[in-house]
Amino acid sequence: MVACPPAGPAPRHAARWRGGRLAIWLRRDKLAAACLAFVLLVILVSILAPWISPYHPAENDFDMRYAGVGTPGHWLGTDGLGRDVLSRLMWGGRTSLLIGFLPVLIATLASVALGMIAGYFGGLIDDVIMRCLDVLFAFPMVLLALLLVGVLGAGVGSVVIALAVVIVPYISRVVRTAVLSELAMDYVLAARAAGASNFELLSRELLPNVVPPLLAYATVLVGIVIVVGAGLSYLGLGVQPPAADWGLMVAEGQQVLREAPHVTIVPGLMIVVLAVVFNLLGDGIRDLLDPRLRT
Amino acid sequence: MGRYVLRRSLAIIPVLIGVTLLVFAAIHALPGSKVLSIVGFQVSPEMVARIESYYGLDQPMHVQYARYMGHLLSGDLGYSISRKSQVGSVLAPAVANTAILAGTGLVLAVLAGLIGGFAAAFHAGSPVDRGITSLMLIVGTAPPFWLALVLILVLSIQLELFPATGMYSPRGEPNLPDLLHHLVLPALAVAAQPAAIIAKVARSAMLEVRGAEFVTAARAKGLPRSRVFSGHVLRNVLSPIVTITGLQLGYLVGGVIFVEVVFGWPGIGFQLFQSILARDITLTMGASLIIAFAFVFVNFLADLINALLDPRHEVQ
Amino acid sequence: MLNFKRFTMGLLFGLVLFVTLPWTVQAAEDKTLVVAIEANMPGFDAHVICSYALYREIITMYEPLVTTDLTDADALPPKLVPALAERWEISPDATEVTFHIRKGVKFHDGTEVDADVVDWNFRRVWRKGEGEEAPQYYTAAAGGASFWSDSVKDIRVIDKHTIKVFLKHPFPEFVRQLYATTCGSFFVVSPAAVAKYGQEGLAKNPVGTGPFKFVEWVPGDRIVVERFDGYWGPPAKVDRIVFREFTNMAAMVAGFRRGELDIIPAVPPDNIALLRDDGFKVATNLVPNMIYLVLNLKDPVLKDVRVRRAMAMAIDKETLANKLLTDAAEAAHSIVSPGSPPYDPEFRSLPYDLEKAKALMREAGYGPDKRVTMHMPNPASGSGTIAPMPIAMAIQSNLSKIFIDLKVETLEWYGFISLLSRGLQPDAQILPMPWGMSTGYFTRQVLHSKKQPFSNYGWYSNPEVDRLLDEATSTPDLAKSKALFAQVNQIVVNEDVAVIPALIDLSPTAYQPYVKNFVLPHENWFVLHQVDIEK
Repeated sequence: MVACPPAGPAPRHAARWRGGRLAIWLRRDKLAAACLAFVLLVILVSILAPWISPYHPAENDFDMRYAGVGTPGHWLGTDGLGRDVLSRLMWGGRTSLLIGFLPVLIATLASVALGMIAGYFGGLIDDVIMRCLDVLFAFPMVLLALLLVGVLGAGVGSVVIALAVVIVPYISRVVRTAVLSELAMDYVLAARAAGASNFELLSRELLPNVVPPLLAYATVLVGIVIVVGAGLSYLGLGVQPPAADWGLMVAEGQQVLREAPHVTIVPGLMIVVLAVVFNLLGDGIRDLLDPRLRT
Repeated sequence: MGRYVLRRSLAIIPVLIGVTLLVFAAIHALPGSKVLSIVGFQVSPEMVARIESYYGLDQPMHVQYARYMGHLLSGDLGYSISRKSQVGSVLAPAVANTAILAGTGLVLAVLAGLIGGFAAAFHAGSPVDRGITSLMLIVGTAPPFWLALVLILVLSIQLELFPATGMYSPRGEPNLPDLLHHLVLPALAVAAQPAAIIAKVARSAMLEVRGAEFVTAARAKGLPRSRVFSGHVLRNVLSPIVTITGLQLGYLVGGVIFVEVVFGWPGIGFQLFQSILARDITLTMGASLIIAFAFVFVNFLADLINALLDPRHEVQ
Repeated sequence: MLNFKRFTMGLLFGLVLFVTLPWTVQAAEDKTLVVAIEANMPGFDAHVICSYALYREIITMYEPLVTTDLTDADALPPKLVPALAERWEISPDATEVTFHIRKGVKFHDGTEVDADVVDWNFRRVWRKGEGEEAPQYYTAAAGGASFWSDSVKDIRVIDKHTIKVFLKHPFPEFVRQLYATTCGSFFVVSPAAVAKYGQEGLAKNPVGTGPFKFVEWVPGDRIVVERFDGYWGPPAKVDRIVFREFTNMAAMVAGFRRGELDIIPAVPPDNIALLRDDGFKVATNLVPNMIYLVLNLKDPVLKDVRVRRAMAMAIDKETLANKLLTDAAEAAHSIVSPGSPPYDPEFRSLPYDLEKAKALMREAGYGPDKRVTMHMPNPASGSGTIAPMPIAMAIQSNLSKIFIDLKVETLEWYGFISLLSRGLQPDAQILPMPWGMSTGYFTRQVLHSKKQPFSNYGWYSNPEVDRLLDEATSTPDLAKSKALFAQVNQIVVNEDVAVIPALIDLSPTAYQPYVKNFVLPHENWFVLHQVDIEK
């Protein structure tokens, strides 16, 4: 994976977000702050797309086909059906972000459960869970996603489920490692001695220490998932036309790469920028939580 | 060492079996009647019967699976409806083609990654370092299909240096110079992501080692810079690089699938994509299994090489 | 000694060498024509193939009894000329056809062609009755051939070079239909080859009588044929033809621009003007292929003729053809195929009238608050399609203005045609069919109630139309046939609105300036034996 998963545990027993700490971090790490701002901007524009996009994304205009970048009224040009690229970019953000966030969210929830159970209970349960995950690990991400979408049928829902399944093993492994190292810590032994039940241990003591290191990893994963999801859409297995989706837009523009490259390049750039931003943001979050890992 | 190899070899067998189970389950979960959905009105009852007997489609699931495994173990991957020939004969040349592309891509990735990473490390902190690191970040996170299209746009369409598709020119007999000419763009596209990561690791490994004590000690002893590099630095840097190169296979395979589709490179990724579109069960299964098995084996090899280079990594 | 700088210089030098090496590639010596085929090639058994794209390849290796002269770009429809039958006679009532087989014709494998061979071929795709199949009867091929073979009552070998076909009803277009069916056309294949390679083996080892013979097939990539020196007719001009498979149109055009391809069919509409500007030749011609929308007449919503009429009036064919598909298509009005004898270019379907369409929908009970959803399976590419995705998007946009939300389901070609065998199912309301033939009989087969669902996919059944179709295809009087088909058009297209003709294919085909004698006729394919290369 691009990111090295966090190695050590959080430096204290109950990690707490403090507004003050967040502000200090943002002021110090300007790059992370910029990334966060960009992400929030993209999310905002996508949510508000129905109101602020200059055109409807499926609005054909046969007289304005392949208008170039900078055409008055169509600042990012139009595609083969005369549809405004900027509008489609805004609307496309909704699906692309959805395909980015939702699988990571689902996968994190599932992985935290799986990883904690495997790490905490150990033994046979651990073995079984890890063997199953090993099988999933045996597949390159793209292949597994392709197969799953092939089975579930093309569409946003299938892509979300497929991507979630694909990244579960990676997050689970990280969670499990974190649980294993936490289990050896004093506060766990103390809580056990005090008579805490399994459930109490898991939820009250371990969980808050396991989740924060995950945040950095999950953030980077969002970027990766956006890219793989765009790939599935590019292959025609994701969102179906005429819906706007960045990967789909790249595919639609291929035919006219020579004559109107902006139709393919612009949505692709959007994907790249967002992926880079999430990557940097993830690095920033990791630095926030454990500056020792900074390279 | 021998025991390690044995242990690891045994460990991958259940994984491989699990892989076949997953692929089998996935394919059989495909919606609609498998035979009707893949068969047009041009297929004879003889062919339909052949498909059905190959799968034993009327049998319970475990019998079907056993049958499939039996065929698999004897090397029979089944008959491809959309290609009208044995899956094996369709995929064998595809595997070779992908090996050529992936191999070249990997070599390029290692070269570019090492050069870029070391250059960045030597000039750590300078604009050169920042430039290389930023470039690697972009190239490493960009979707491979988009990178491929950008390469086509610039190097094929605008500069007219390279062809945009295929493995050989449609005209004339396949020959090596023609192959190399067609190989450049796809190999670059495939190499991009792995190169970026190798560069990152090479850079940090280099930085770590340079500051390490034994280097200072060796320099103090009066050894020339190059001896320090080859004798001490290189060996310590190599290990994490090889590890990470092994991990790059995941990216390589994923990238290869997209790059093959964009360039129409007739490799196994391209075949997989076509077979999914054509809803050709046997071909999809065959391609998936080959890719997954290859992935497992090469990871296994990477593990072994790693253990060879640094016995400390053996203990897990 | 490792020197960083030297290492990099060496590497750069190596890369430069690597890049410049390909410029030393030598071109092939003999005359090879490289032609793109815009579909997957699943094999070359002439009785089984089912697409125009493949047809262009098949006719280099195989021949029918009677063919058409496709070196004449103007003849509409192309004239029938002898092939393996040096002459033929049709009885006055058009129920008997006698073929006189040419003497001295040899297959590529050296075996001879005579009436028994032709009989053997007929019986591979036709049976007299159930249970009366010949040993060589091949079900995979019989399906498509039933387009014409259902009309055959009996076949009799008269002597070594004469064979007679008896028809169940008057069928004046029978001879043309044998050749023009595309999916089930009647070619003469070598019985010896089928004996040697098996029924399914012929697809990989094609043996015919054509001017070119099979050399090799790389599935998914290419098929190579070379001139057959034992051909009974004038020899072909080029030495070999390589047909390359392309499903990615952009790649095909790119390859053409690089000079890697000599002839490319199905040029994407947007590329036509651009290629012409850059000095390439792009031929267009009116061909029988058209895109028409088949409506599922069993669907509860579509049962209401007002809805169907509204749809016909809401689809803006002219804009679609002129603005989106410039040079590649024309608006279609008739369900009679352009290029067929009874085609009337003056016939008009319901005019584009959005307001009237909306009014009709409202009358039928729909409106902005009561929209209806319809489904349309759409092929992503494939033989006969023009620009399926943009066309689907345009139709979707048109229909959404009359309260119809069209869900387009994209399938690849293979999946699309496998849908057809069962007719339109309840989950699909509209089917965009790319089809057409140079016979009026085609229209009968897609509209006749007896042809459900074999070629009548929308479940259309109108006894009056049946009667008109039967008469129109049985009369040898062309004027009478034309008048009858005009009535059919009026009922089917404008009154019942069972189908909505949308576009006529202009079959844009690009070829390099050094390709000589290339002709794009009024047919869905072209011939290559007369083509030459002058570099």
